[in-house]
Amino acid sequence: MSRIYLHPLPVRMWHWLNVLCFVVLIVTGAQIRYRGILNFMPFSTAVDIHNIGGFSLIGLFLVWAAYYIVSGRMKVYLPDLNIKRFIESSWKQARYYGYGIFRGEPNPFHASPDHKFNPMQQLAYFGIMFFLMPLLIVTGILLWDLDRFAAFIDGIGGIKAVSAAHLLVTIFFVAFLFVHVYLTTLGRTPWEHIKAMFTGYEDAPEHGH
Amino acid sequence: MVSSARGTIVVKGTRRTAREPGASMSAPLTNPLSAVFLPILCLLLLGALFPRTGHAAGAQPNAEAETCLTCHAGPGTKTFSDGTTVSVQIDGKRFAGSVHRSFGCTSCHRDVKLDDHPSATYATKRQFVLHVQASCSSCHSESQLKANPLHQRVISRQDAQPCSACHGSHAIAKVLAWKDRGSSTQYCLTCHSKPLTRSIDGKTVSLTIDDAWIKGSVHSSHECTDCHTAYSKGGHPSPKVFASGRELTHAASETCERCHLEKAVKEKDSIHAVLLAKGDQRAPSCSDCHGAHQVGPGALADTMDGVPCRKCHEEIFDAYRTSVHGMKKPTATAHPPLCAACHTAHEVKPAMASRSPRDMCLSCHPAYEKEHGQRLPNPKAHLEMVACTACHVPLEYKRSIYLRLTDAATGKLLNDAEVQMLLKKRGVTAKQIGPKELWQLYRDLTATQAVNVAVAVSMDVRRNAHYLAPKDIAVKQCEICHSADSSFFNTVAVAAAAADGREVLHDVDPRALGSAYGVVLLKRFYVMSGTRLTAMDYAGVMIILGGMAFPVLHGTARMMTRHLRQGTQKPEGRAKR
Repeated sequence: MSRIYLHPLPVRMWHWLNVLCFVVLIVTGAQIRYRGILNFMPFSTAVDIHNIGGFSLIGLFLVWAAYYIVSGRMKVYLPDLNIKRFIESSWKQARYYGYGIFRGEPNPFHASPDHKFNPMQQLAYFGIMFFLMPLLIVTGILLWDLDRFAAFIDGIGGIKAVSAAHLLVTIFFVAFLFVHVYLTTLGRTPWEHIKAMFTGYEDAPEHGH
Repeated sequence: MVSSARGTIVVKGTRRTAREPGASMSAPLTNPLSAVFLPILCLLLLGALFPRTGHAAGAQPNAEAETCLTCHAGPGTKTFSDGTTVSVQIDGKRFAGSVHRSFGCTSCHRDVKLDDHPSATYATKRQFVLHVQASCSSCHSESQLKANPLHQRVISRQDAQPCSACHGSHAIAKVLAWKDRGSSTQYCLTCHSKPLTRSIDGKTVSLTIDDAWIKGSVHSSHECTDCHTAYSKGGHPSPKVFASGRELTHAASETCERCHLEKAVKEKDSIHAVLLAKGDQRAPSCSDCHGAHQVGPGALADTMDGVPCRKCHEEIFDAYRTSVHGMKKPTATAHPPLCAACHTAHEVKPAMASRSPRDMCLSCHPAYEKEHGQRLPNPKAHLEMVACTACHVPLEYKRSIYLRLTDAATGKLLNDAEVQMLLKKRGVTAKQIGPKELWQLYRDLTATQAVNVAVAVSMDVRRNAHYLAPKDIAVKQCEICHSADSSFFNTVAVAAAAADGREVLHDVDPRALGSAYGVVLLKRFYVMSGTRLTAMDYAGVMIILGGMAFPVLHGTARMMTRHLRQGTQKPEGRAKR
């Protein structure tokens, strides 16, 4: 069985640091929002760590953007512009997860370094990396320095609206985490994809496309 | 010192025998002494031909008085049974200048004769004085004494002063005689330095003035008539009739405006003037703060003992006394603020529960933003909503959230009459304003007001600044506010302004702070943990449960369909992450 070098080292490092940041941000964010209900660290400590985690996440986002732009791999995130083809391939993928997988049918998509995500992944990650992450980052920065951005915050609906948007994106990410982790176990073995995120290599299908 | 022997007076330890009656003036001119008296008599007669400037000028006591003065010219006192004393020394010259100079002493002192001087046995000085005073009425008839209404009122009182209190006892003169002597103040004090009262609405009002008050006041150079313009040496009209002592006080203060117009104009714009205009006579007038006759310097009001506000606002002043400013005030050189520093001295504005006078704080603490920025993230956002007092007052005092309905351009509170009308229209006058009702009120106000309505939020403590504590007691833990169970958000009120400028508060359901209606309404007010949007909690739980449901349902379905895949290959490729 041949192996594909699917996840270069920078991508793997970015991924796991991202995991660390997300865990820290979710935990401290929960502490900031639910002080009095959750009391596992002082409020000011939670805010300080949340700020550090947030800027780390921003840094990682910039690293991600720079790496994918410079390496020319950004196209892996871009859904097929041929709408008909995209819908057809998405439907095939959705049918697989909703039906074929239970019957033991083969996955219609085969990953390669230049074609890393199936159409559904592309749609999800495109939305996450190009819309939700920037929204999370921008609202986070606004909430970080209310004094500096007071006029802008007022213009877009006020602190409560910005905070609500920040929280909604966070809620979506937390919900997505469960789906994300579950889907990583749907390889040929439950640990296949998870191992690949450590080693970078994934076994290529024997009759690969 | 005490006269005891019949016909003698013990004077300063010396004993003299009373001269025989008529011993001086009734002696024939052949007496060797006539050689001395004759030229004097001639001079006196000569002097009588020329105008005099006063009664006493060149006058001599009559013969009987001369005799009495043999002893009574010298110092001496008489002590009565109750310990009160009276001087028995008589100034012969002053007596000679009195309107009674032609009378012999015994004309009034009727129990004394030239040949019989019994020892006085009066129990008190007053008894003695009243006894002598009885002689006055033998010449001055009641109709004469009561012809002047003012005189009638003064002498008819049960506690009326004796005649001598105003007219003198030996240098007896008409009160009008004082006109020629000294200032008008001295003239007035002829009577008003004595115990003198009048009754207003059943209450006794003192009319007694201590000369020392005037001399010690900033008005020491003024005459009584400068303020009491209706009165003069030439006339004492009947006092005006007032319904109450307070009415008299307010009327009397009008005279202050003649010199202090600028202050009076400012005062007319004060909450005190508003109270008075509403008929509340308790409102202070000039003299309530500055004193009527003991007017002290302005700086006196900036001292703990001299500040006049405490007379009516004792409870507040006691709170101030224990505050960081109050504790430092008596000894500090940096002049910690007293009442007028924040409330101003004359144009006193209504107290605002919903907003501490932050500008006042900043006038002495200009570096507040920098100082707070060292420990407080987003100091501007914090300090815009959180009053200085919200952190600098001990925690035992309740914090409230005030939603100030304001004109966005000026920051002034909107008129409460309209707020009440709109609330009534919605049927929410007698209960807390709910989140939706608050939103409706805002919408209604926005529709009806010509101004741009804004809800300015403020966290504050009622009677706030009076409890300001030293720095080390200030709230420093974020969790005091930033906590779901913080008590700071349990009391919420909408604030508007009554017609007289006073603040009116309407209770609001505290849930309004965390309501979805507040996203727009209170868009600048968000306390992490403290006032989070509770609707988001439910939405969050539903979305996350949805995320968790996918693995559970999909995994369960895979387990249930395991038999379908037996004998087939494992699915290939990567699954969606």
